[in-house]
Amino acid sequence: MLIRYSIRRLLETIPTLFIISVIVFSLVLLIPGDRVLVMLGYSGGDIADVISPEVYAAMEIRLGVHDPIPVQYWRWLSRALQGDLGTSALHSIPVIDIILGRLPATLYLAFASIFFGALLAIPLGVAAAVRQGTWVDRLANGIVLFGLVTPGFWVALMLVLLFGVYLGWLPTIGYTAPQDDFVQFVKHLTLPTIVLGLDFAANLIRFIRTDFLEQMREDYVRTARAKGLSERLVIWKHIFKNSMLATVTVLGFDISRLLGGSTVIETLFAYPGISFLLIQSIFNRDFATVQGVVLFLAMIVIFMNYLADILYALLNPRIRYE
Amino acid sequence: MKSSATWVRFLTGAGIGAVLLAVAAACGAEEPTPTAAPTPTAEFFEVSDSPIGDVGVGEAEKWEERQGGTLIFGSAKEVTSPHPYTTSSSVDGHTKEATWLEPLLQLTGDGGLAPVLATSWVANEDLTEWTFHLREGVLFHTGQEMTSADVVWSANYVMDANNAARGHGDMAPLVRSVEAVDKYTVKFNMVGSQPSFPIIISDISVLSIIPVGALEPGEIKVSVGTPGTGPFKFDEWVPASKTVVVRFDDYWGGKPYLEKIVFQLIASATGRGNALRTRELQIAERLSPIFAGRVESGDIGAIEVSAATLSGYRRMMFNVDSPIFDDIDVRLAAMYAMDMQKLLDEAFFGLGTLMDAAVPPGSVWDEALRECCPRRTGDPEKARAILAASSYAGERVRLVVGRGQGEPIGESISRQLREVGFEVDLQVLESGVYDEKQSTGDFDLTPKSASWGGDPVIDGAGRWRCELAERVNNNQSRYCNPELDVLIDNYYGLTDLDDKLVQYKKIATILYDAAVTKHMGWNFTRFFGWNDNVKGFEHRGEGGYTRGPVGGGLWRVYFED
Repeated sequence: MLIRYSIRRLLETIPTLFIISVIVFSLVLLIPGDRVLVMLGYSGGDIADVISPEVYAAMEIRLGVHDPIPVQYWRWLSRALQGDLGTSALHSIPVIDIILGRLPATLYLAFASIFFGALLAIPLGVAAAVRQGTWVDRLANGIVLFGLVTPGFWVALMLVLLFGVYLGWLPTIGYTAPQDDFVQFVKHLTLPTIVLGLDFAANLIRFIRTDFLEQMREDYVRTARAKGLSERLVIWKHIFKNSMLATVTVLGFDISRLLGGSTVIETLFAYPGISFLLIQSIFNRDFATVQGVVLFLAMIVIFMNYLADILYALLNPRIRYE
Repeated sequence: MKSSATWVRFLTGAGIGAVLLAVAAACGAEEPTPTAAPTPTAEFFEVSDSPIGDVGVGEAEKWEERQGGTLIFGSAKEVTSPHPYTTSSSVDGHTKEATWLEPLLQLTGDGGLAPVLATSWVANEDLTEWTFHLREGVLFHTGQEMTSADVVWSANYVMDANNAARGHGDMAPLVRSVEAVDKYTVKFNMVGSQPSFPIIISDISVLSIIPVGALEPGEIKVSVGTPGTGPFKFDEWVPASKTVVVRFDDYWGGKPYLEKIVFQLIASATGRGNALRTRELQIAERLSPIFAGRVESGDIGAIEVSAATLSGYRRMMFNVDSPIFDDIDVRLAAMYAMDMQKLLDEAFFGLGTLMDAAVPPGSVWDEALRECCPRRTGDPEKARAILAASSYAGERVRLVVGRGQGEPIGESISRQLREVGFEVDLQVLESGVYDEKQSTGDFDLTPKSASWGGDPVIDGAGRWRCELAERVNNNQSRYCNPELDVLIDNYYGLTDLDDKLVQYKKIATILYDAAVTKHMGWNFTRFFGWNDNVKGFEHRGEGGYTRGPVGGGLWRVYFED
């Protein structure tokens, strides 16, 4: 049953992907700017430019910009289906290579932030619900409020000043691959992880606390207690499992968000992730890279949602039959 | 160890900030006369030994005493490709020229030329041939010697339209053919008389010398830098992240001190400043005026800063084809309405120097300008009077600015225009839309920025010549005056500075009388900063850090204990 459900959900993602591909391709066509000029290296015009008509014409032919839009779309899509997301106009190398080159750094940051956030959020969210109204609850609410109302860039700047400038404990820019130097890898990852993890935790604590409180009022909890189970068993074996539905939803969305939406933080820490690549590509009008990155991120969002659906089905078998 | 005062300041600031954020969250014309080009003598162009090479000789004994190591340079923009013949920004060009690529010769910053890979150059009588004598013993990073064959190959590669080289538009119309006279002599056969050819190829984005066959025909997908002749060798390039170069021990000018330079892209000026303080960076460019001010006031220690005073200037450009500004009186009224000192104060903390045209302050060009074209300072009364007598009938002026630094400019200018009676529609746009509107003429008034290239006419020729096209990439004011085109053409035939100054004055007068552009000034918003143990770093004020006869660039940088 689960396999059938998984296959059905997988097939449902195909039209979504197709629509996204049309939107991504069309949106990029609507962005003002001349991709021929970008391809020729004219990205902002802060050097006195003399543009040669011959070179311009040669590049127009090479890029096929005069082909009908459906032809251009089909060419782009058929290449994308084979893993070729085009060539970056700015960097003149395949977009997929650029994305794959940045993927490890992005994944490390995303998963480290989720791990840190979950480590903070799950015990605090559960404790806040179980000990509602106590100092633990107030602490959890304080963290939620701080995380939600404080802009990430401000937290980042404060952490940079404290741990980088004043204490000198942690680096404030860059990234080191774990295979090159694991200690430096951890150090470089720490500050951006704390910033993103705090934001993630604030969201998660709210969901866990609310869901936990709802579950605690359910009949099966009363039954579990009535049959003499210890409070620890009631909380972690019965309530926790059922309250994970909301957590899985948040996780699905937040992993997608962390993979593609940490632009400000990656910019501040000069962290070579995919978000930073995307914003640089937009500023530089590197259309092929923007198309490639957006499509890649859209696929990740769809895949994470798909995974979340499967986890839902695992956690709540009734979903499979609906 | 930090002082307690610093700690108190930090904690207080952080605390106040947090409280404020929490509270906020809870609450919810002279007649132009074409000038004939003088006939220069061959000696005029003959240049002897390189001052760069001379510097290298004396440095050899100091080499062992000075510490090299790795220098991390915080760049505001990236090297977008290690390809030698695509250059997307000034930072891209500076980085390549400061490290692994070299031109035949180089502008000295005061309009002169200095030898780099060519030790001398000479033209024939009618300036239709240029012969360059190459420096002997120059090695490429591959170890092979640079010869005339490499120069011929590089020049031909650039001039082939199929290779999409940036320098194609500069070189191909001027050069008929290139030939190797002997192993160390190259002759460029020109299309007609071309006295300014050496200046044109002194730009690294036009022609750098790489070995024969270093690129395939039409090759634009490059992820590894081609070998060059510079003091550093290309090592690694990570798109939108960093470019790494390493020392080239056999550099013809002498071995550099630094073993490695990492040009790290840090897009945020705050990030660059913080990383300089933590010494994760040793040099950073384009630091903010606020950061520079704190360093200069002593608030931030152990760092030195220096303004790139010629890094860029801004001007307000009218669209003379627009229904509002096709009347010169309306343009003049707007010119007198705009007080550039106010603009400089309001938008750039007063950091900068006013200018009347795109020439460095105090230069011979500046002196020539003062003689012909008195400054039009802000004068609201005069502006109102001219506006009242003009054809202006209250139409909304489309003032188009780019997001970011364009915003304060737009706010200041729109306010000043409104004060004298203009209606203004301020449009703050993303860079792509902003560029597009300028290209298609969908604006009335807009700020433009540019940088100094060493000669005001050669720099400005593109934006002054008639460009009759629907989409305009160079002359976006759309001012077209065939007389001006003739003067510019004739200017290219001049070699004597005095003649050039006379001709420049005529050109400047036409532009002044046409009231097409009002220059704001050189804005000192870009600062270099470096740790106080970094020695030997020099820049030439224009924002670059190019190794050359005037500035030391990164080639002679070393660390002191």
